[in-house]
Amino acid sequence: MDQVLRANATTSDESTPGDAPAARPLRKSFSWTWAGLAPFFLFALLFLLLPSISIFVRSFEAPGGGFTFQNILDIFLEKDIRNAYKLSLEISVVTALGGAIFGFLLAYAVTIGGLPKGVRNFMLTFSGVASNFAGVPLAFAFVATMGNIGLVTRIIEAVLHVDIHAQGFTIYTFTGLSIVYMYFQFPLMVLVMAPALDGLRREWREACENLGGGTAHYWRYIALPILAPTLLGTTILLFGNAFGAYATAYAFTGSFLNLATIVIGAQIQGDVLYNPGLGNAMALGMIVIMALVMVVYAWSQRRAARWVQ
Amino acid sequence: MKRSPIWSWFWFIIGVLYFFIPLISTLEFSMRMIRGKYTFEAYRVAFQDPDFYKNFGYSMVWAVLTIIISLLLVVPTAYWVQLKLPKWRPYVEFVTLLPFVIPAVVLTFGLLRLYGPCTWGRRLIRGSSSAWVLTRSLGANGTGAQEKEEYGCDCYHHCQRKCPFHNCLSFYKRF
Repeated sequence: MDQVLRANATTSDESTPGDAPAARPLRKSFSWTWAGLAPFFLFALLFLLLPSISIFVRSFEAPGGGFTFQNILDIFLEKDIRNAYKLSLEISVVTALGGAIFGFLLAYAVTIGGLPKGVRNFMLTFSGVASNFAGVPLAFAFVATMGNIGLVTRIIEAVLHVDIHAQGFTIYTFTGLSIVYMYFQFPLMVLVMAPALDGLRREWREACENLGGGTAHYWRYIALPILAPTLLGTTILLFGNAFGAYATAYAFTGSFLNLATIVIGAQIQGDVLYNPGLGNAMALGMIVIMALVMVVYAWSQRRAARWVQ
Repeated sequence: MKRSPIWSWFWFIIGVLYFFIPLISTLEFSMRMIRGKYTFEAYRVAFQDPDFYKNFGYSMVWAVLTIIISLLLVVPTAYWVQLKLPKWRPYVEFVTLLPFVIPAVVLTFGLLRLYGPCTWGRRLIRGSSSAWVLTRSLGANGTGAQEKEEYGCDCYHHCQRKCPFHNCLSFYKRF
């Protein structure tokens, strides 16, 4: 009580007598500190937010002008567009899970799997390179590998005397594109999982063994629950990686596979949907899916942060 | 380690094969310009082609430019938000996530519709010159050819409705 009174006494002579509570601080003079962030936010506004808002607003624009919900409905109603989304989601899920599993096994092998240290450095360096290897060069590399006259195709033909392309088989399919996507998917998993696996303390395993638990117990009750948020978060990153990929798919299959990104790319070249609003609605759909996915990612990151020392 | 790392080696070798087979294939492919033998002919042709240097240089210039712009934009911001405005950190982090949320092709699509030919954004960027553009266009013969020639605007070829910015009576297909 004494302290409160004293606090009041010291502030009362600064504040105006009467109405305002005495403890309220004086109004600060205007600060220009915020201006340091202005360039960054201005850039984000001009080149990230405004384009998104433009896509959002125009998604509700009828072909002749005016407001409509038809474009949003058409995403679900029109077969081609629905299939494009379905294909995009499928390939993203498949390559995200495939990349996550393979990447995890690789990361395990080079961290706590008992391989020499040099092997680990090599794998991490190469993962850094490969996870950024995408687009036209990547598509070309795989055409040169398993295309009609690719190296692997010719080796199989020479060794096994089987022409794998004879029965109308082609690599420019869902499976083929999945294999291509995996090239940049699993290295990213290795890059993220390797430090996470390093973070597993030896003491945890020892504690588990002291309590009579085996390897299975250790993974089931200790390691996997700790790694789960990182695993989930990274798998989501891989999903987004594949979902937004355009150049790789376009260069590899042209328009054989109608992914959502390919349709939007075509919409950029010319109004293939014959409805600018529908093109915007498609773009909006991709943003919405990615936003939902990122919410889960943010949640998983918060869970993962608990174990970060 | 108690267990023998056989499985570790197995996965590691699969990974190495996945990494290198496409790269080796690309190298092999590039050396097959002359039928029946391996040569560096393709490289010789490429390095003698002036277009190669032009395109390669163009890619390099853009790569370097974007790095410089990114650094100029991000380093001071990171410094500032860390030391002066920690309260703004969540907002900055939110913005840094946006490029991931908006796939590149979708962002390109949005940017083109905002700043591409015949858009409000384009006009905004041109700013003070737009009034002059408008008067010049009104005097033009309505084909939009003049704008195309003078400002690189593709109104005539790409407009579907009346281009509101140059007042040309042309139509745009793309936007």
